[in-house]
Amino acid sequence: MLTADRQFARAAVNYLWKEMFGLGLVEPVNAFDLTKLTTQPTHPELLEALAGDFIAKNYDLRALLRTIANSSTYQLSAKYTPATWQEAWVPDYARRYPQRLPAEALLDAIATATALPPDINVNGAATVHRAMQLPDTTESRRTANGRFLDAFGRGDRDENKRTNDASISQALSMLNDPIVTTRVRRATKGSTVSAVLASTNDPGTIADKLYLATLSRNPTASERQLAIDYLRSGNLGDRAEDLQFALINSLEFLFN
Amino acid sequence: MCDRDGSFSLHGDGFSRRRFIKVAGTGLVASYFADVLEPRLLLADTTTANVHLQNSAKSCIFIFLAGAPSQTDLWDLKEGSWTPADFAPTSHGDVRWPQGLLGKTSDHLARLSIIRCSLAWAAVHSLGQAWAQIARNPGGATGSIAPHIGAVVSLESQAARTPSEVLPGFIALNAGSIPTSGYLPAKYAPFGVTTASTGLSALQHPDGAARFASRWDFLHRLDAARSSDSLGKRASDMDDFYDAGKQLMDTPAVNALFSFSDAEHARYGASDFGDSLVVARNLVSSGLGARFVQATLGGWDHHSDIYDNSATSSLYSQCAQFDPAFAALLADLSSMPGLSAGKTMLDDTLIVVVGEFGRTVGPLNNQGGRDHYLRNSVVLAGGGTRGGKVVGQTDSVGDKVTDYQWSGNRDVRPEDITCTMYSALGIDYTKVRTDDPLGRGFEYVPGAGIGEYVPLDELF
Repeated sequence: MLTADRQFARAAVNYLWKEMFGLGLVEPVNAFDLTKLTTQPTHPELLEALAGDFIAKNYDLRALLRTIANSSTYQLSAKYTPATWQEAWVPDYARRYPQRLPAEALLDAIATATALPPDINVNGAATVHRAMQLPDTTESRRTANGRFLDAFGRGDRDENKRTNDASISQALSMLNDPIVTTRVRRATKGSTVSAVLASTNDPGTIADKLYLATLSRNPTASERQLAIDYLRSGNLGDRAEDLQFALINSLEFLFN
Repeated sequence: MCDRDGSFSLHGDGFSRRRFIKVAGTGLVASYFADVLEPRLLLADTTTANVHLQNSAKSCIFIFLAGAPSQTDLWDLKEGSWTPADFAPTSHGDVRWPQGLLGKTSDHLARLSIIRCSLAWAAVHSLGQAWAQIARNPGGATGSIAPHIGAVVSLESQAARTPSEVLPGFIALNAGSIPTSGYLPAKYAPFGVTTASTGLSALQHPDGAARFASRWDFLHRLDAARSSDSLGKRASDMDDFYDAGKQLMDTPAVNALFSFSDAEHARYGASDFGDSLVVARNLVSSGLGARFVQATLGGWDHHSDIYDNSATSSLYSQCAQFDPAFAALLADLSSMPGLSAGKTMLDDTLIVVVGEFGRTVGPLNNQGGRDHYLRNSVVLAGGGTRGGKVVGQTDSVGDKVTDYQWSGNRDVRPEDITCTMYSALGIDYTKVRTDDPLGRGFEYVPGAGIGEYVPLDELF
């Protein structure tokens, strides 16, 4: 059987590590060959330990994911003081190195933050409500959702590789695409902003709720004050929309 | 995810990203690849003494015929029992020409340089295409970090940019997946655009300019971390692209460049490729900073039915797209005033037409098609080239070269074409950058420093 070879476990661990850290213990992940000098692991003991654990837990991907996510390596701070950091330390995993959300995850994150899941027609056969449910990267090609996913580099199975590189088109999509701007409107039925405004008109509470809905955390004291000042400085409904727009366009939302 | 309360006491005192990028042109670059960067000592980039550059072009339109067109049916026409009558082979001077396929282009033969002794290195699409766009073996030592030629052009033109030049230096039209900025900063990557008569989507904020201004300002106050380097290069790149996108939004002239009328659409042959050449014309003549515009036309991989006019893709269908568009581009650029006195826009713009390789010569294969072949033709126009010139004479079927007809007296390789492009654009094609992450020195064109590859100076 395929799994009988320990290399299966090593390769699987390496793929998942790359998902989590953006950099495999062996690169490139799809050419991992221990007999080649050029594809040796940067941390062989770690890779072997994870592979052993993966096998011992009967190839349980969730368990492997949990182990990695609970590691202090994964939980290191994403922030550093620019002048003191050296990019050469990246393969040492000396910090969390933020990755942009993949195309599908980003669209779904926007949908989750605004409580407005998309209706994506799959080739006339079915409708799905999460980009992650799309059966194929060539689905939904010529629709607004498809173009958004393309702009964020989902690639396709034929000619275009998946990429996490940033681009001007991505910035313009986040700023101007109705996928974002319509979803933050209070006039859009079911939107998070409309629900928050229906529940309170206290700027501090609005800020807390929009932070929780968008970034899954409360604002810091200074962020909260900034948001309150902004919400008070104009039409509360407009300003609440602007606040969620800004949060969705923050690097913290786009990167993980 | 990120702790927003941390302070950036060293930011402003340290070496900020913006200052870092400012000095990029001088050799120290915020360069990066695959998350790994060795900080390099500040070494001067090296070059070859007294290298002669044509410096005759301001920008380049790179027309990539993906799939590899059949050179012996087009630029190096070899007639035989296989040649369809409606190719209407015609003599223009001593050039035999497929008038039935490239009739409109024949009006501009005096502007073309046709290189018939061109030889690709690899007859595999992915390899050949990458090779032609990064000027080296994609599987070689620096293949995986190599930027697209257009990214190098964009980087090299950075120092001379003026504040009004808001367009990305490298714009790729209908290009699909092409090499990007390699190890160079992502700002030099191609700005990919799918052409549409309405121009660029997403340049207008749906809730109006005033609302956008308020949102933009609030975003930058709330998300202070975005203007520092604290989240790493990927995040800083994204913030740079936000700024570049904002610049495009703030320049009303930009959207007009990406738009075209029904009349232009028709005159350029009423195809996506034609549309892309209208936009390419607009971009290079705008003076707004686009230095390298790539337009891609695929569908030339005719392993079967190459002469079948009823097939979805044949020489007929592809030339029906290429010929009117290319001819209209040459006509338009040559009638527009250039950026300097006495010059036309065509004088200022080097146009290069390449495929990744050529196709088999002589009779067709048993599928009525032609297969992959290393021999091919490359066509150049404008940008200081004199035109009306053929380089390389091939034998009766177009296989072996009988006379190279240039000073190198050998096959012209993709690297020689790149040297020619760099030379025309005033870029030192022998330069070796010292900022590459592999630490081995990044040659713009490997081997050019020792004369292995050279520009075709006789074209100018």
